[in-house]
Amino acid sequence: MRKLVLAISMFALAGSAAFADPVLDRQALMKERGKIVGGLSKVVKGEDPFDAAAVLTALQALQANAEKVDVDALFPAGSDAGDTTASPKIWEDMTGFKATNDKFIADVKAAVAAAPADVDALKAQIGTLGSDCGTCHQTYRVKKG
Amino acid sequence: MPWLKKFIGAALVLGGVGAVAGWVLSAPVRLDAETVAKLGPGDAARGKRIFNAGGCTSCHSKPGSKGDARLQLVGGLELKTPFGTFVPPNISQDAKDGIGAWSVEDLANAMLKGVSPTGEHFYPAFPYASYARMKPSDIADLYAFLKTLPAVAGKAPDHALSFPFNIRRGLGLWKRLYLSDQPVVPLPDGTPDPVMAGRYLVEGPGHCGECHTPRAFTGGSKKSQWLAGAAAAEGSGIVPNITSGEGGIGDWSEADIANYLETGFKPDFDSVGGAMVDVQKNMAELTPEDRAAISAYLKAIPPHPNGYPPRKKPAS
Repeated sequence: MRKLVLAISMFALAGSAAFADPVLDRQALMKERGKIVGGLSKVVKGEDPFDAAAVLTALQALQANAEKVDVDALFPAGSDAGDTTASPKIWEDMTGFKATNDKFIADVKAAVAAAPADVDALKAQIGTLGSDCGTCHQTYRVKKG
Repeated sequence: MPWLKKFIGAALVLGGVGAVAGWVLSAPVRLDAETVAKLGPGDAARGKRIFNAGGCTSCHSKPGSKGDARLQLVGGLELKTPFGTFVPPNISQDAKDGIGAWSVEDLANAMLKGVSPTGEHFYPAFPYASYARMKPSDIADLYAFLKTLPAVAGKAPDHALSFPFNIRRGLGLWKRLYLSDQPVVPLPDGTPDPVMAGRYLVEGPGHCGECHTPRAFTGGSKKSQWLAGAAAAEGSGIVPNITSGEGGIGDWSEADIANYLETGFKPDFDSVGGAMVDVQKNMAELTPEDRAAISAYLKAIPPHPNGYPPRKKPAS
């Protein structure tokens, strides 16, 4: 019985790795990223109190999220088809797309390293990160109906 | 065959009358003296607000420029539309390549009537169908602000349009259909001030309807679907519905809209994208009162379902 359970879970694991849908995977990462930024924005707006430790934890989570984005695995050729808002420009300009992604990762790392001590410091960092979001979505995302 | 001669004669006369009428009706119309008198002296500090509300940089900056370089209004962006490619011109203070030699009246005729100093029609890719609703004094303020910006040499390429859109004179007829200084959304007496202020910013200088409202085959805005979202003029995407109708932003609060315009974050912390990225940067430069006014107006306008067709399901 234990062997069977093990076999089934191994199979499920292999299945999820082999047949994972890159579109769903990257969308899940973006959703998670939005949630983390949302939590930090509440602090910036004064809706939640500033707690340096909690802010750092959130920024670290953001870094972990950012580092999970393996562009080659998540944006394979042909994955602009179907239920996605990824723009064909990603594949026309893969170098530019990767550079934009790298800038975001670098900015998140810098924010973690700086470990903001007050709301104003956090606000500046969220401003930079938010503008990174916009820069990428400006060129590499296309709204669909 | 005398009847045929008569018929041809009549056709020629009618055709001639039609051509003359078309020529007269398509003539560029400049501002009247009364409006020109309302321009006033202009104030550069106030004009900066109008400049940001209008988002002049989004089209007239050199494509891809950042920061202060965006104030070099040298033009050159390519807007690839079904009518052809429009190229926003140099509107810097360069006297030869830009608009440095224009008078305030020239700018007012361009923005309120779509007429160039040499008396030609501008194409409405330059959104004067919206600017026509602006106050003359705001044009004078904008003029004063533009005067503070650098002169940059260099002509942008001409538009490259297909027939019949390459005939500028035809725009005179288009203007008879679509050019008006009247508000789009009627608001009753006693409407709160922020909503009124927001109507002015959105329908006039902000020209939000130019992208967010679907267009007829003529290129004119369908006012019955005002701000209902539209297929993007460029590319294959859509521009979202910003009314409270189905598919729109009915579940956003006024504070959500204002925050989005300020920070670029949607209520679900997705971020601004596409052409709206530059627009949002300009909106962030406005005062909180102006952003609140825009939000109040958007919550007050008639709701419409999406003005673009639903997405085709991918073939499986």
